[in-house]
Parts: sequence; structure tokens; C-alpha cells
Amino acid sequence: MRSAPLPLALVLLLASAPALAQTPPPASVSEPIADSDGDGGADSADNCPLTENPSQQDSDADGAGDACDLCPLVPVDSGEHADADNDGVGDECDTCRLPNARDARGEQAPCPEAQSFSGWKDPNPLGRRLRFFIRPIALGYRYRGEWVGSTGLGLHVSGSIGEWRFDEKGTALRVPSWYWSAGLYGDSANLFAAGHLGPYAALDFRPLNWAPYARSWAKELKFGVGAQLLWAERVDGSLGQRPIQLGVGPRVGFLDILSVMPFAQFDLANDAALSWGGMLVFDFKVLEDLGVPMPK
Amino acid sequence: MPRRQMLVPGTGGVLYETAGGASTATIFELLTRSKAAQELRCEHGPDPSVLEPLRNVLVARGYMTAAYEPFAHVVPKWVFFDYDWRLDIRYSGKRLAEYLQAEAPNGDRWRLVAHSQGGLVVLAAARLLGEEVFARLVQSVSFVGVPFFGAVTALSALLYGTLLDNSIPPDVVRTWPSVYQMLPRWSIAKGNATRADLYLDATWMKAGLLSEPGTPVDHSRHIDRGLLGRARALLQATTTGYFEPLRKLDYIRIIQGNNLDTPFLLPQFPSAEGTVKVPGDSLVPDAFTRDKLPSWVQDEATIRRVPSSTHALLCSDPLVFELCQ
Repeated sequence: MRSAPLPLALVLLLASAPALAQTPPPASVSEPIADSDGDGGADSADNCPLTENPSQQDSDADGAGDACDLCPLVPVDSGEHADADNDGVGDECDTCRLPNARDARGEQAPCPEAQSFSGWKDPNPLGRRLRFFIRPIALGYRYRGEWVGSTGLGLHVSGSIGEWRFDEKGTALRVPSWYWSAGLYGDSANLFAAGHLGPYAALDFRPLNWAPYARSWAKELKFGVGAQLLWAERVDGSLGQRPIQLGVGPRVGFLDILSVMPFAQFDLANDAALSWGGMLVFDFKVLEDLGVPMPK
Repeated sequence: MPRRQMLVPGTGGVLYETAGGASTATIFELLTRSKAAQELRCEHGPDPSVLEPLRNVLVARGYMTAAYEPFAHVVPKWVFFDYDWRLDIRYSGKRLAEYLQAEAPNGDRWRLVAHSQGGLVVLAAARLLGEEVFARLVQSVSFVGVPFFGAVTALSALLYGTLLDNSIPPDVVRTWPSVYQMLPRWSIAKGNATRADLYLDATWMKAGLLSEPGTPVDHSRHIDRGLLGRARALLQATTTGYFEPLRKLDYIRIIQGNNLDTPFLLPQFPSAEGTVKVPGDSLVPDAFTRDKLPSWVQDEATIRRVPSSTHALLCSDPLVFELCQ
């Protein structure tokens, strides 16, 4: 009799087991539905899970609903249509590779004009910074025991050597470091009566792509070499030929306004006689950047 | 008119003034103070179109000098846009747009340098203003290490509370909408990176990290459904025409680091086991981000890749500074 409760419990348990197994789970523990776009379709079955599209229309039957299909009439095998210009129209059905989005009726706007931020090229083979200067010059040198001086005007043109890159509005994105200039100097308005007359040239270096230089006040300085060939003033009556002085020397410039150049020169007409001196140069810009838009 | 230059800092690069107002500190420094978790939480309403937070006790005031060292020492002085990087990016963009408009009469157009999340704020401001107005106020934008298409770091922040090598209690970071809005826009669990799976409720519910609709949110166990909705709203607004509001600027530059390991896939989501890494700046995957940019931005003069320090210190790199000048 002491063992009677166990079989009874077993019988009761076995009798109730099928009923328990068939009992449906309570409604409160049903699988929650994730519906990110709130259109009534579960994310897992929604053909546009991030875009509300209750109709689930998919014209090309590629699994992506028309509402989120970049080409609703062109099936895509897997993934999504590429959209290189990010205008919402897939490359396979885009009328243009530049952005021209669809309007409310689903039609694309006309193709916009091509533009690129670096499409603007320098039209000037001599360098964009083609500039004309009037240059007052004072020079002096010691020649055959005497000081010779001259003050006059130079007229010259300058430009750059190297690649410029610009955006479409002309703002420089890349600036070259080398700059040239060349012109003619005379110390009299009547060139035939000039004491000194002849061409000069210079090559300057400004490392504008070197960060420490470009960030400091030093960027206003330029360093270079200059040369001049002057039909010069006769200082000694015993000389057979009027001197033709070829001078070369280093130069330092500041703010494109002022430069100083010590030089050594050789009298090509009289046995290459050596002399030395220096010049002080002021630059007054007359014209700049001809034929190109000014940078903003 | 003087030339004006402004830096829009990124995640973590802003200093905060606490309710006492006595001192400023980064969010990570504030975490060490007592009652930090209470102070650092944000509270937002259920409507994702209402951008302002319901409750936020901190005020952004200043920037991290170490992160923006070269910019702080140049003449003319740079302006720094103080914004609370934890809040809805659209809200920060609205504040930037208002600032640009208010300052318009006082000088020339701005040259903007946007670091990290700051770039998303600039894009949000540009969308609000429209391309014509934005180009009247701004001359150019340099985007430095901007996660245009999200970052796995944001996912790690929501999963584990790790953000920029700092540890933040998950129940705090899960109240910051901007973190949700920087979730990767690609599938982090598959090789095919075309689906923004992390923006789907289903992904998080399957991982047990999102509560059922209508149930109270426990941020220590779950992410915030409403804030995920805000992330979706931003995603929807930028799926196409992302860069269109910039088209009338004089130029844009996109500067990215590419020499560090950057998390890209978590094939075992939500576990971080077997994380796949690709070259980047430790936060922004370089090649993936460049490839997703629209064709008209894919230009040698626009996109610059730099071997650089970590994402957080990109703007302290002299080379980056030079490119932003």
C-alpha cells in the first residue's frame, strides 16, 4: 500500500502528457516581428526592408522591390545595381554617368554638363603665372679701379616651370616651385644714348610644396640665380671696345617686390676682364594671369 | 573681407562644461567622475524627426588641443565649431547651418576642415541649406578621415562600450544617437558589402540586442529602438545624392589615412571573433570608402591618401594640415 501513490502519479502524468504536448504556446510568447520600415512586412520577408512599400511590387522579379530597386525594370543577379554617380539610378539603366536623378514621374533630368574638380588645365604653356613687370633697377660695380653706377628701368615677363593644378574655379591645388623671368634693361629713355642696355634673366626657387616653408613667413622669400648682358658705359678712354658685361650671381627676393643680387661680371669685349658689384631691384607688377580666371 | 577658416572636430574631440560650469573636460575624462553615467546619458523623444534632445546636462565648450595642434597655432586664427558629438548628427548639422548663416555678414566665405564625424555634420548642414545657399556661405570643405559610410568602431561602441580606445558603459553609449548614425552602411557579416543590415531591427533582435516593440528599454541589455530609427532616417536621407549639396563649392578635398588596420567585418556578429581588417586609418576603411564615393568626387585632386597616425590624431599630422590649408 505504501507504493500506491507512485503508480497513481505515473498514471496521472502519462494521462496528461498528450494534452500538454498539444497545448499551443500562449499568445504572449509569440515570435516578435521586426519591421524596420513599418510597412507591415517582416524584415526577413520584405523586399525593401528599409523603404516603406506595402504593395511589395517587384516588376523585374529580381527580389528587390521597385521602391528600393535602382533599376526596377532590369533584373540584378545578386546584391544591388551599382550607382557610380549616386543619383539613385543604377548604372545599367542610367541615361548619364553624371548625377541626374529621377523626378516624381520617374523620368531622369537631362544629362548635366561634365565637370571635374581638376578638369581645368593651364592653357598657357609658359606657366599660368605669366606676368609683366616694370622693374626699377639700381646697379653698381667696381671696374678698372673705378665705381660705375646706373639707375634705370627694366621691362620683363615672368612665369612658372612645372605643373599647376586647379579646381574648376581656378583655385590652385598644386603650385610649382620654379619661376623664371626675362626682360630688357636700359638706363635712358633714349636707348641709343643709354649707358647700360641689355637683356637680363633670372631663375628663382620657392619650395611651396614643402610644408615648413609654405607655413612660415619664409614663403614670401625666393632664392635663385640671375644673369645680365649689358652693353655698358665706357669708363676708361684707353679701352678699344665699349664693354659688354656678362654678369652672374645669386639673388634673394622678398614678396615679389624687392630683390638683391650681388654679381661677378666679365667684360666680353675686353679680354673678359673681371669686375664685381651688386644690384637692387624693385618689381612693379603690371599685368598678371593673362587669359585665365583669377583664383578665388 | 577676411578669409575665414573653421574646423569642425570629430567624435571625442570636443570639451564639455559640466552643470557646475567650473571646468571643461573630454567625455572620457568626465567618465571618471562620480555620477558620470547619469550626466553623460542623453534622452531623446520617440519621434525621429524631432532633432533636439529632451535632456542633456552637458554643454560643448572647446576642443582637444592635442588632436588639432597645428590648427590651433596658425594665423589667421581658426574658428572651432563646438558641438555635442553625441547628439543626432542632423541636429548638429542644423546648428552649424544656423551658425554659418548668422556669421555670413561678418566676413568672406568659410573654408571648412571637417574631421571624422565633423564631416557628417557638414554634410547635414549642406543638405539643410541646399547647394546654392551653402556655396554662398562656404568656399571649400576638406574632409579628413570622415566615415561617410560608417565605421565598425560605432558598432563596437554599441556592443561593448569601446570607443577610440576608451571604455564607456554600454548603457551610456547606447543613449547617444550619433553612434547609431555612424553604424556601417555595409553588411558586416558577409563578403558582399551592399546591404545596410545593421540598420534593420531584425538583425539586432536576432542577436538578442533589441527588445520587442512596445517594451521598456533596458540599455544595459539592449540598444535603443528609437535611436536606431534615427539612424535609419539619416541613412534614407543620404542613400542617394549624398554629396550633391557640395557640387557648387569651389572645391572639396577628401583626405584619408591608409596605413593602419581597420576593422571591416565581424563574421560572427554579435561576437567580435574573427574580425576582418583592411587598410585604413584605424577607423575609416580607406579603399571601401573611396570606392563608394560618387564618380564625380573620384578624382586625383580631390581624394588624397596619407600615411598617417591613428584616426583620432589625423588632424595633428603636418601633412594633413598642409593639405587643408
